[in-house]
Amino acid sequence: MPGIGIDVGSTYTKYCIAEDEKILKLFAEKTPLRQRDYFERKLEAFKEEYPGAMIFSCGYGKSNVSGIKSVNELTALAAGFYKLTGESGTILDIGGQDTKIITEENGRLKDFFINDKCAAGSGMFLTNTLELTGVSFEDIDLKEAYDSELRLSSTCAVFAQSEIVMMIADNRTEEEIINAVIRQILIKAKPLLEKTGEKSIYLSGGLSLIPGIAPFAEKILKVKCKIPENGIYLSAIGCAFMER
Amino acid sequence: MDTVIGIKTRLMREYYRYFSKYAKGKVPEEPVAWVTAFTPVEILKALGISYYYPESYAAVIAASEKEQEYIKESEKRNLSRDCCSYSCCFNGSLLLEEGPRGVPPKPDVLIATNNQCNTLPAWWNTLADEYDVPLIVLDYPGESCDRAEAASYVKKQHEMLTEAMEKLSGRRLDEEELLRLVNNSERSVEAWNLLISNLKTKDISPTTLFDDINFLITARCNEDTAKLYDMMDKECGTLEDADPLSIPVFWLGYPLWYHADRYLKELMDGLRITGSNYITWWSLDYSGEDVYEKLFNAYNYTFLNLLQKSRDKRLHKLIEDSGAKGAIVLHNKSCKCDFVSARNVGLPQAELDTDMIDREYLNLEKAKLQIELLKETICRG
Amino acid sequence: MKILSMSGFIPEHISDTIRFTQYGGDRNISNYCGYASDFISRVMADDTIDGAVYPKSCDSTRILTSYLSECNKFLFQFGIPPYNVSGAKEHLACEIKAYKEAVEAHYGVRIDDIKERAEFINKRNEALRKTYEELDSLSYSDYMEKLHEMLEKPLAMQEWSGDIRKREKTGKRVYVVGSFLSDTRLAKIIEDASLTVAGDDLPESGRLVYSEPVETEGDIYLNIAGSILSMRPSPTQVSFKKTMDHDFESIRKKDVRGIIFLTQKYCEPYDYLYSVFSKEADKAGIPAVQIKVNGTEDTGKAALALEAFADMI
Repeated sequence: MPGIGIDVGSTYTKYCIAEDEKILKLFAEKTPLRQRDYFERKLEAFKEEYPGAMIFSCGYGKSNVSGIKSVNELTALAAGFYKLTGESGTILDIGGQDTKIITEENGRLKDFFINDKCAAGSGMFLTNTLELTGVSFEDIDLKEAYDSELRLSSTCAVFAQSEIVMMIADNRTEEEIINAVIRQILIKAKPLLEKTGEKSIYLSGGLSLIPGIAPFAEKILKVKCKIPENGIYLSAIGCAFMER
Repeated sequence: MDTVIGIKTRLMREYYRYFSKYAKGKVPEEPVAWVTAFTPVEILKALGISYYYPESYAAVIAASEKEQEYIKESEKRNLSRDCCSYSCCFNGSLLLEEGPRGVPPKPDVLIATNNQCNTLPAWWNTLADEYDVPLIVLDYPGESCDRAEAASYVKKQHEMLTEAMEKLSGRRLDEEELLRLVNNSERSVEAWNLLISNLKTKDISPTTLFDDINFLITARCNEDTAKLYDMMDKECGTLEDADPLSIPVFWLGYPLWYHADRYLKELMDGLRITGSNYITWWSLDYSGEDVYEKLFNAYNYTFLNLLQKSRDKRLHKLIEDSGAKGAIVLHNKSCKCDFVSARNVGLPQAELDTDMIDREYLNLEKAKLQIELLKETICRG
Repeated sequence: MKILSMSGFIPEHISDTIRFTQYGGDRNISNYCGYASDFISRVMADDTIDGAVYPKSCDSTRILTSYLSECNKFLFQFGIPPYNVSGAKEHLACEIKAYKEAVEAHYGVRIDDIKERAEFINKRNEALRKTYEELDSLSYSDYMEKLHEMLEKPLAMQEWSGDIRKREKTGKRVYVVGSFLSDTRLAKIIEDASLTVAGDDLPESGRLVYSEPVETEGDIYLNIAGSILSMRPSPTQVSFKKTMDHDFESIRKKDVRGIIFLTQKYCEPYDYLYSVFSKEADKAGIPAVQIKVNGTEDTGKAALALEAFADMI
């Protein structure tokens, strides 16, 4: 029996199609504004292509995927990570809305930490910065990131915004600014990470797609950082293999 | 013959004698209390109990550039960074069992008061949990009820405190000795008030006052303290007059303990601090017919325990006396009880988002801009 | 007379008050409790409110008068004695008397029904306690909604029928610790996560129902003070050991599997309490989750955290 997992994120919705304990397909689409209509059509298409499939959803927009079971995103993340890697571990997930850290043991959620309501600690901060600087997400590359001395001093995204505007006026490069923002997002995650006491973690979520993010994050977080393959699909995978 | 530096050294040595860096394993012979900054320590001293101030040590930690490490340690153990940085910093140092002067000797009792804020008794509860020792909380009603009722209530608690400390020390309180110590405190306050009055006209460094008020906090009932301040006041007579061309401003808030100057000297070119509310906080009013009335007046009507109207009145007088034309107001993340004092100051203000311990709170560029704007506003006015 | 009140320490025995629950405040004081901030907003902006009564029990409430002084409405602040302080009962009795006199002076009324009000409150709390003791078989959200509705009414209309929707118990029994549950959607979120609330120590619920009834003979002010001080201590009364003794006794008795610590951001008494509470919970082997909200109309990341917590326990 096929299993389909849908992780409805603020920016992208991730899908996993699975059957017989194997992942058949992984893909992502931009989460539209009119979510209910979109997911209605999506589910109809899935029911046609994969009759009898068990479908689970998770994520902030999961209530818009009506008529199917939903799962907690963190539970799905734990299950998906274990499915993919067979390992127990700690995962730092920086998404569009927030930053989460989970510890997972044999596929079960063991503990979790979520940052307070603060845009400076989430992907939204980066999204807004990309808009200001006119850089697209796909163009970010931290592989050659040098240790620029440029730092954001504001702890709040709202104040940091004005700092960024001044940096642009001061002719700082887009690269320097974006590096400073990503650094700040990771710094915000540090106190949560320190609560786990872990020395080695995995990165997932949108930020994990950035080339060079692992060594960059290691320098800031002072822990070993690895990126699981298909890191952005972990929750969707967890949903697809959710126990019936 | 005593000198200023000689007295300071003596007082510091006495205070830090049993901190782990210097104690070489020795423990105090007398019982130890950890107290909040406005505790009636005269009662403790009269019974031979030594007392230490975690808040003061947090300031030392920040001055030694160790606060980030200790705050992070506290955060790891679930003490939110939203809490007062004094507590995050000090508790972190205890958890790591280290500090610029080691750690203070273990307490036999913890005493907290709410005449400064409500955070302190809550913080003291975390220390009580850590050390499993008795915690005494003293409730000072301030101006929230009539004077006679407040006096009776506070007297009862001071008597209860005395009883508890007598049990701890195995001694009986000698009221004459208590009165002598209260008079020493009063003398120290008088001497301090004379000293700080030089700030308006003399080229005295605010840093000196921010640092040296420490003796009024930790050793006010010690005879040496009044002597020290008298000598410092005399020395002010030999100082140059303050630059008449500099713009006088009022520093409204805590000193920045992590900063070498304790205030943003590098941003204040052309400005001169002629007054500060912090340096008047321990100018307690020890007036009264008997020793209990003196203690009541001193500890119930501390600045931060006053209603806004009374604070406004005191501040207006202080500002008037200082001749300040503007104010630098610290919007202190750790102390909303203090920041609210600035509501009706009636002067052009630069309001800086900062924290007295955690240096990461300050956006220096923004502060620079705000102070520049303040200067311009004052000059245009 | 429409006096907005904040806190379970305010004596309803003296005069009617409207217990503050929620308000979409525009007042945003940084590093300051959102509940207190929304309270300020309502007092300042709501013309139907002509007075405010509040405690001096934490850093945010301590300075409320500073923010409210321009409202030109009736204001009264109660100093709340810490737990077990010498002379606390007598002192609080004086404050209660002063409150009564202040209300009379401001509103030009005579308050002579304190005993009757006290008797009514005793009965009401007794009825509440009966409901509270069956909490695990009731809908917590229905209970909290009806409780809040009741507390906003004049005392004479605060009849507690105990008619709360039943709910099937789940094995995921939890205990809720926190300050006033201003947004009852949080109770719904807890239920939607398949959790069963077996008990709580919220000021309007678990703490209220176990206060001793007021003796109506003798010095009524002293007796009211005694009743208020007999409530399980709030962390604002700064005896964390006593607070936790009560909580963990309930937690053990009610066979709780998880603890939900639900507070406002910048609520320092609960932040400090959590740092020691979480240690005790660890020792007892009971998982605890801390959820912080901003203001009275915020559920924060509660849904995500509570669902995950339910999956964990």
